[in-house]
This record gives sequence, C-alpha cells and structure tokens, in this order.
Amino acid sequence: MLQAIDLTKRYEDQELALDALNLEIKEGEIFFLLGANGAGKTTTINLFLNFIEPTGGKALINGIDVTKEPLESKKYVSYVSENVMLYGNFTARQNLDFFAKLGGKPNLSKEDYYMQMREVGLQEEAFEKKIKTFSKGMRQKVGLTIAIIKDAPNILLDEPTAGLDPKAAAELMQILVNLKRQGKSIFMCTHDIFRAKNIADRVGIMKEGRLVMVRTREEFLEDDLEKIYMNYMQEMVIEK
Amino acid sequence: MIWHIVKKDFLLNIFSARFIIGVLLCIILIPFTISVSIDEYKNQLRIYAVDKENSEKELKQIKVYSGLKPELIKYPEPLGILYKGINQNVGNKVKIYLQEYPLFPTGHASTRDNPLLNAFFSLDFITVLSLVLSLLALVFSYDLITREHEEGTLRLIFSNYTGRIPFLIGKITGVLLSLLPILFFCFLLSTLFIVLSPDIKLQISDWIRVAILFIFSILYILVFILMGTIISAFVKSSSTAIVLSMLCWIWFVFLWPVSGSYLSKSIVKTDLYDNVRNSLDDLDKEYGKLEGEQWGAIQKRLNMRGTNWWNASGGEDGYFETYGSPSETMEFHRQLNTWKEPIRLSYADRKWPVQKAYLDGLIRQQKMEKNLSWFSPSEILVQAVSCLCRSSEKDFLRYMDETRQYRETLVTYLKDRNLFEKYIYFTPQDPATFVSTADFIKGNNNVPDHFNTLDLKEVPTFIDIPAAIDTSLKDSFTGIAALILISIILFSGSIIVFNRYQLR
Amino acid sequence: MFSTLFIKEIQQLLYSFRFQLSLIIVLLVFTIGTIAFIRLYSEEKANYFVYHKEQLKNLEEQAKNASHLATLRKNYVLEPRSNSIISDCKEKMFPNQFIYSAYNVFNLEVRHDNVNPLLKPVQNLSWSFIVSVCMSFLALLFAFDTISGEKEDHTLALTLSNQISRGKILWAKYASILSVITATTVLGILISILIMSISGKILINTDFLIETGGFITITFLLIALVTVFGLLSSVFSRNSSVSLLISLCFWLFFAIIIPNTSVYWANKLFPIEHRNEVEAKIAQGYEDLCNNAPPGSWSSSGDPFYDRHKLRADLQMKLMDNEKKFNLSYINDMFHQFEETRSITLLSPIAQFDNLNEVNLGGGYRRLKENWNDLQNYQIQFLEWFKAFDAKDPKSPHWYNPNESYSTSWKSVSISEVPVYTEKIIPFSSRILQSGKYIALLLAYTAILFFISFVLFVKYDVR
Repeated sequence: MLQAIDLTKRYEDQELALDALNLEIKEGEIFFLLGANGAGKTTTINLFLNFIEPTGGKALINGIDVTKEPLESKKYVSYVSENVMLYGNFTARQNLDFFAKLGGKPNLSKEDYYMQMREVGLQEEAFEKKIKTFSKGMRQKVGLTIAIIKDAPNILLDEPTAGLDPKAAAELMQILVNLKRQGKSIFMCTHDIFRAKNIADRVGIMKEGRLVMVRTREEFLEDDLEKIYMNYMQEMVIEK
Repeated sequence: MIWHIVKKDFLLNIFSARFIIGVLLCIILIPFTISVSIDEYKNQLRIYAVDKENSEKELKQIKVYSGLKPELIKYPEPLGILYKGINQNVGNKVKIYLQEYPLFPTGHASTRDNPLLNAFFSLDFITVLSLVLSLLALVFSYDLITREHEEGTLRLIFSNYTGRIPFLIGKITGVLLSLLPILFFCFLLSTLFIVLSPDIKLQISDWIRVAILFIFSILYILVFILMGTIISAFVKSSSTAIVLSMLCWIWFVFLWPVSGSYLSKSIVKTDLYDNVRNSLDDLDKEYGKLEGEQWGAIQKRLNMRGTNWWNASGGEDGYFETYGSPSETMEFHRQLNTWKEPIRLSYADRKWPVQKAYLDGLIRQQKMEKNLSWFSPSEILVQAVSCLCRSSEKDFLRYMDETRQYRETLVTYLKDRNLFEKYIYFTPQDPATFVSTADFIKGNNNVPDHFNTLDLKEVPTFIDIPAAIDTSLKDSFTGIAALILISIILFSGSIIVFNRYQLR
Repeated sequence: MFSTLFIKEIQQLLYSFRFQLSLIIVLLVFTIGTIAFIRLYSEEKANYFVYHKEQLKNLEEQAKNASHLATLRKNYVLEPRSNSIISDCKEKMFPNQFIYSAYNVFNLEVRHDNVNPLLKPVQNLSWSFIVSVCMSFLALLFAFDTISGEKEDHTLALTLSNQISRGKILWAKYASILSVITATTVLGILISILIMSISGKILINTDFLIETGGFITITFLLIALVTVFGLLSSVFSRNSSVSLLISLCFWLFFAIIIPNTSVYWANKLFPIEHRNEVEAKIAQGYEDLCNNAPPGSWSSSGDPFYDRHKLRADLQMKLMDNEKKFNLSYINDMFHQFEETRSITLLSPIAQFDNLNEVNLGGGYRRLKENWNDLQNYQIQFLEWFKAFDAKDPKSPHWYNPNESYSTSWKSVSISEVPVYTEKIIPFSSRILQSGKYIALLLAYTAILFFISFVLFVKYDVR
C-alpha cells in the first residue's frame, strides 16, 4: 500500500513541485498518474523513494514513513525507471543477479532468472548477452524483471512505456495486470492515456504540482478520458 | 550487501578497456624500468668490487701508522633497484682522515658511466608505480557515482534496501580490488626480474621490506581512489569528473612535486661549498704556519743544523714514511708527530662546526622540500618508500654519522696505544738499527730496504649497519600516517558529499 | 560559416569549467616557476662571478712563470644562461666544466656549485617544462572528447543536419583548441616576463625577445601536434571515456615511456666501455711507458739545461699522449652514444620539442659539444702562443714537458698577452638552419595525423 499525506515538495529555488498530495493506492490496484512534463509526477516517485526530502507531509509505504525509515521502507517497493541503461558490460542475467541480491533475494538460481525473463517475454538468446547490445524495449523488460524478482508489494514505474513500440508497450501492460492479480500496488507515471484507459483502476491528473483530478475506472470509462485530460491541460494554458 | 556491490564493480572493471590498458601500460613500463635499474645496480656492484679491492690492497701495503687512512666503500643497496633515492646523488667512498671529519662521500655515485646519459631520465620502479597507479586509480574511480547516475542504475539501487555509506564502501572496495591485480602484477614482474638476475641477492629482511612496500602502494592507490570518489560525488557528469580528475593528477603527480622542490631551493639558501672549502683551507693554512714554527723549535731543541733523509715519502693527511734516515731525523719526526697529530685532530674539531653549519643548511633546504611535499600524495609515498629502501636522506646521514664515529674509534685506538709518539708511526725500521748522523754523512747506512707491512688485525674495522626494519618503519611512519590521514579525510569528505548527492 | 563554428567552439571552451581551472593552474605554475627562477638564477650568477674572479686570480698567479701557466690545469666553467627560464636544456645534468692546459683538453666534468645532494634531482620549472608536461596534457584534455563528446550529447548530428562539411567542423574544433592553448601559454609567458622585468634582476633584451618568439613558435608546433593526437583519439572511438584512455596512452607513451626507455636502448644498442676499463688501459700504458723509458727519465735538477730534462720531457709527453688517446676516444664514444640514443627518442614529439628548444636557445648538449670542440682549437692556439713565447727566451732549452716546468721558459708573462677562451654564442642564422629539420618533422607528423583524423571523421557514425 502506498500512501501520500499532504506530501509537499518545494525546491531551493522556491518552485513548488508538489502541493499537498493526498493519495492512497491499495493492494491489487493500478494507479496511473497523468500530466504534462514538469507537472510533478517524477517528484512524487522521488519522494516515495526518499531520493528527495519532502518539505511537508509524508509518504508511507506499507505504513512505513519513508523519511523516518528510508531503508526499511525500501524492502516493500520496486522501481522501474523511464530509461534504465543498466550495466552494459554485464549480461542480462548478471544484471538480474546483482539487483536480486540487492533486493534481498540472494539465493536465486540461473533457472529462476531465465524463468522470469521468459515470463516478461525476453527471447531465450538474449539471456546471456551483454545489455549494451539490447534495444530499449528489451532493457525495459529487464528492468521490469528486476522489479518482479524483488517481489515487493508496491511497484513504482516512471514512464516505462516512453519510447517503446506499441507491441512492447502492450506486453509490458500485460505484465502489470498479472502483477496486479498477485496483489501488488502499482503506481505508474505516464503520458500514455491509451494504456491508462486499458488497465488502470484509478487515474489521476497532475498539474503544476497539484493532483487536480482522480477518477475511478467506472468514472473515466463513462467520460472520454482523453477529453478530460485535454480539458485540464487547456485550462492551464488559459490560466497562463 | 556491500559484498554484492564489491563483486559487481570488480567484475565490471576487470573486463573493461581501462583494465586492459592498465595492464598493458605496466607490461611496457615495468620491464624497461627494472632492467635499467638492474643494469645500473650491476654496474655499481662491479665498481664496488674494484674499489673494495683497491682499498684492501692499499691497506695491506701500509708499513707505518701515519699511512693508515682506511677507505670505506659503501656496499650498493640492493633495494635501490626499486628506488634509487639519495644514492644517485652521493658517492660510494669515504676516506678517513685525521685532519678532517668526513662530510660527503666521494667517488662513483650510482649515476651512469656516461654522464651525458644523465640527461635522459629513467624512472625507478616506485616512481613508475606512483605515476601509473595514481592515474589508473583516478581513471577507475572518476565515474564511480556519476556513471551509475547517468545510466539510471543509481536510482534503481537506492530503490532497494541499500544505504549510501555501504554503497560507497562497496564501490570503493570494488575499485581497489580491481586495481590489486595490476599492482600485484607489477610487483610480480619486477621481483621476477630481480630473482632471475644471478648477481643480485636479496635477504629475507629485504623481501619483508618489499612486502611492506606492497602494502604502502595499496594505501597510495586508496588515496587516489578516494580522490576520484570525492570528485565523482561532487560533480554531476562523468565528463566533468574526468577532466577534474586528470587536472588533479597532473597537479599532484607532476606539477607540485617539481614546483615544491624548485621553490624550496629558492626559499632556503645554502652556503656555497666553495666558501666552506675556503674556510677549511684557511684553517689548514693556519695550521701549516704553526707546524712550520714547531719544525724550527724542535730542530733547535735537538740542536740539529738541518734534516737529512735517506728514503722518504709523504702524502695526504700527514702521511710520512722514511727509513735509513739518521737517528737525529728520526727523533725529530717522532717529536714532531707527538706534537702535531693531536693538534691536527683539534683542527679537525675546529673545522667540524663550519662543515656542520653547511650540512645543516642543506638539511634545512631538504626539510623545506619535505614540508612542501606534504601536499602531494605521490611525494609522500616516495618518501616513505625511500626510508624502506634505505635510500632516504636519513639513512645517508646516519651512515655519515657512523663513519665519523668510526673515525673517533680509530683515533682512540691510535691514542690509546700512544702510536703518535712511536717510531712505527712513520718508519718501518727497527729503532735499534737507526744510523747515527755521523755514520749517515759518511754513507754508512746499510739498512734493509724491505720491511714487513703492518699487522692491522687489531685496528678497529668499520662495520656498516644498515637501518633495521623497525628503524626504517619509524622513519617512514610520518609518511604513512599522512597517507592514512589523507585517506580518512577524503573518505569522510566523500561520505559527506555523497550524502548530499541529488538522486533526482 | 567557418567563423561561426570557430567562435562557437572558442566560446564553449572559454566558458567550460576545464578551461577555467586549467587557466588557474597554468598561471600559478608560471608564476611559481618565474619567482623561483629569479632567485636561483641571480644566486647562480653571483656564484659564477665569484668563481670566475677566483679563476682570474689563479691565472695571474700562474702567469708569474710562463711554464706554470702552460702546464697547470685550468677549469673552464660554462656561465649560467640568462635565457634558461625558457628552457634549461638539461644543462644541470650535463658536464659543465672543462679541464685544459696549453697542451691538452683533458676532460669534461660536472661541477656541482650549489647542488644540494640531499634534494631529489628534478627539472627546473622552466617554460619548456610547463609546456611539455602541462600544456601538452591540457591540449589532450581539451581535445579528447571534441567529437565523441558531442556525439554523446547528440549535438553533432544536429550540427551536421545543416549545410556544413565535416572538414570544416573538424578544422573549427582543431583551430579553437589550438588557439586557446597557445593563447594560455602566451599569457603565462607574458606574466613571467612581467614578473622578471619588475624584479629587475633578469636582463630582457632583444635577443631574449627573439628567443621568446622562437619558443612560442615551437610551442605552437608541439601543441598543434598534440591536439591532433587528441582529435584522433576523439574520432577513433564513439565513447568519450575510451577516447580519454587513448589520449592518455599517447601522452604517457611520448612523455614517459619513450624517454624512460632511452637509457635501456643506450646500454643495449650502443654500449660503450666502462670508465674503469678505460682507466685500466691508461694505467697499463702508463706503466709500460715508465718501464720502457730510458734510465734517467725521472731525474731533475735546478738547472733547466740539465740534459736528462729532455728525457723527462719526452716521457711526460708520451704519458700525456697515452692518456689523451684513450680519453679522447672514450669521450667521443660518449658523445656518439648520446647522439645515437637521442635520435631514437626523436620518435616522441616531446623529444623533438626539447631538441628544438636546444637549437633555439643554443644551449644544452649542443652548447657543450660546441664548447668542447672550440676548446680543442683554442688549446692549439694557446700552445702555439706558448711555444712562440718560449722561443724568445734564451734561458729555456725548449724541451716541451706538458706536466712540469723544468725545461721551458720561467719568465713571467703579462696576462693580457695570453689568448683567452671565450664562449661563442651560436648565431641565429645557424640556429634557424638547424631547426629546419625538426620543424619539418613536426609539421609532417601533424599533417599526416590530421589527414587520418579527417578520414576517420568523414566515416564517423554520428548517430
């Protein structure tokens, strides 16, 4: 379970990156956070991972305050970033091995890694190839495998589909649905309204650091999500 | 947790281009360096053998005690192969005189036979290590953090149960471990060359010293890794980090050592040796006048009209030898020696403060150089190493002290046996066979012209006691302490800087 | 178009952190070097004059007896060069003292006047040291990622999407680095000259300024070459960290590895006899000559015309010739060994740079050898003068003895009549002629490497 309570971040230059965010993502829920570049989506993830200190409020992972117990909280969260390069001179398997050990899974065998990679749809011949030869989609799958192997109850994804071809993106979404079924809380920042419509349980729209709208699946399926999104974006332009 | 990071970094580094280039560099540099050093050492050994033989031969031919001027030949220091240090500046011979304390050795310094070749530098093993390893340490560590940041793995790692300090320690250990094979390879290669040269024999204690050198080198590498780390934590991008690292390298390893040494020469002035020599010569002249006066006084006392010699020869530092001369002359010389040798010794005591003042000036200049070198890790390493390789200025000054002590022992020996007052001090002839002056003038001086050489078994011999390991370690302590201190400071610095590192 | 590119590159460099930091370092080093030089040089010069005066006094003492003047060994010590701030041409490491008499030039030695044996022997912080170590390194540091770095930032593709030829881009980058590094060096030199002229202790005359101009030209040539190495490593790899490693290898190879191996080559490829072997030969010859000398060759008397003095003079002359024969060939071997070894090190641009400096300043080995040869000529002249002087003395039997004064004129001589040895300054015209070969070599090197970089850049994958 991921919880944000009045979570606020103001940078040194006084720019308000996140304004009193209140949010809760339950087990087995997929939450999509939409918003323009610079709206504060990545800031939210950074705050959950304690990469930056909040200036107000708190972020809880499974009830653990990430600023008070940053290390403890990380046992319960996996992270998939927008564009992970990984260690180019290691093979996919070596990368998995390293991060599995960091993630507290030291006793996995080669077969375990192979199985997981097969599961996310990586080709068999790629398992022992160096990551630097991989395409972006393949790297992203490895990144996701890392998250899956860690088997944490919460998963944070930062625009994982950016730059992926539609097929790869669709595969990624399928994996997320499977994870949801296992009871994981999934929090994903994206620009991808189409995917949101497909699999999100709830969708939030963020604008200038504020969460301006949250709709459940039923609600946004009634209205056209794209229209809602564009409306909010246009308001911003007008305000300016 | 730390161990996983160590292992990952080790594996990544070992198969990287920089590792291979590092090994290649060592393969090219070490053999040339060591073989030049070994050649030079062999040359020193050869010269030592020649000099030693000459000095022993000379000693064996002495027939009178005034000719006893032992020449001490310093055995070339085998660890000088690794670091020449001061041995390349000073000679290998010290002759013991009564009229002067030994100040600097003369003779062959361990420079090349052809003095023109001195214009080509040849680095010794330790210098090469200090250049290459510091460079490699920086090349391996400059992107310690920036690279992980740029590739996005830093965020991924910290989304796990990993603290920043364990991460940092793991990364640093990983780099250190990946440099160890290169370091070990360098030592292996050079010791292999040494072991395979038949003329060079290292004692067990020397091998222990080499082992300690190895540990020092690890510490040295660590300093540069930490320097790279702090740079990597301080800047945002790898390209800035590498430029900063390289500037640090050229500054600490090339520019500062040369600047510091050059500056110390201009800050602390030393007297010109010519001036010192002139003052010493003035004292010699003063003594010469006294001797002239005494000469007349003794002749007067003995009622001599002049001095007649039969077979006489003289030389430096009061050496005088005669036989077949009339008994009056013999008595004259005995009395002259009884008077003059103590006076000459007292003149040596008067010269010493002048020499000492000059030496102190040189030491002050050297101290200044040393103080300035605290700003460069490579200089600190080299100084610590020079103590271990017995080629530091401390070893040299100790050696010169020993030679001066030996001179004292020799003087005591001569004094205790009243040798200055004896005929054997200047003539091998038995006093019973001295001819009278009257017979001498008549030409009745049938003396044998073959005499036995002196039996010098009881004369104290000089034993060079090179610094023991504990002394060397004590000498190098400040250097090592400084390296450890720098490491601690850099490590705490990098922790502080890295704790503030922005992950976003 | 070229000027737009060039100005952009210059601006980019000037704003860059690496340039700003480098500038501080370079100016610092130039300042330290100059301040230390002024003190050391004025001390050296003062010492030299004291020594020189002493020598003159000795000479006057010797001149009371013409034979003493001819036979006693004299030292000629090279004067410290005022332009050694530009480069000391390793003169500190070369022999700087010649021992001669009217009969022979005996040897060359290293005179340590104020060398402290407790210090490590290091090079002077002269301009040439700063350029060969610091500026060459900085040139590589500025150039190593010009192409690969822009590729990583994807700005290269953007630039190339315009109507610009690749050649122009390469040229603009090259010219900008070259001008920035050269300008930095010139700035350092100007500060150095300023400090020297304020101190008033160093004479700055036209010759010095011409030599400075020459030095800047040589520096430009070296930096031009080193920068091409940087460019080459930059187009060699698509990854800037690999470019850096290649650049570092170039630098280490030229600045450390080649010079460091030269003694090895000298010993292995051009071995010469050991000094003590030569000494043993001389001693053997000495013994043979003494043993075979007619009896009475060692006799002496207060009367110059004592007829055994002729024998004695004969023997002494033979002894000197014996020593001269071995010694001279040994010294020639040493020169030969040095020259051969140096020609190997010419592979390194830094060695070429050092050589050019030597030519430009008329110092170092060239100065040593020039003086050695000139001194031989002078000695012949000196001996002729002595013989002519001796011939006029009826009290002399004219039996020339190179070591003793028994059988030549004892008349006193006015010191002003005696020919004096003075060092010839190598004229600029011959310096320029000598430098032609090295300049051509450097330029050829640069042109070839630039061409290779160009070809590689044309094929460079900018994606």
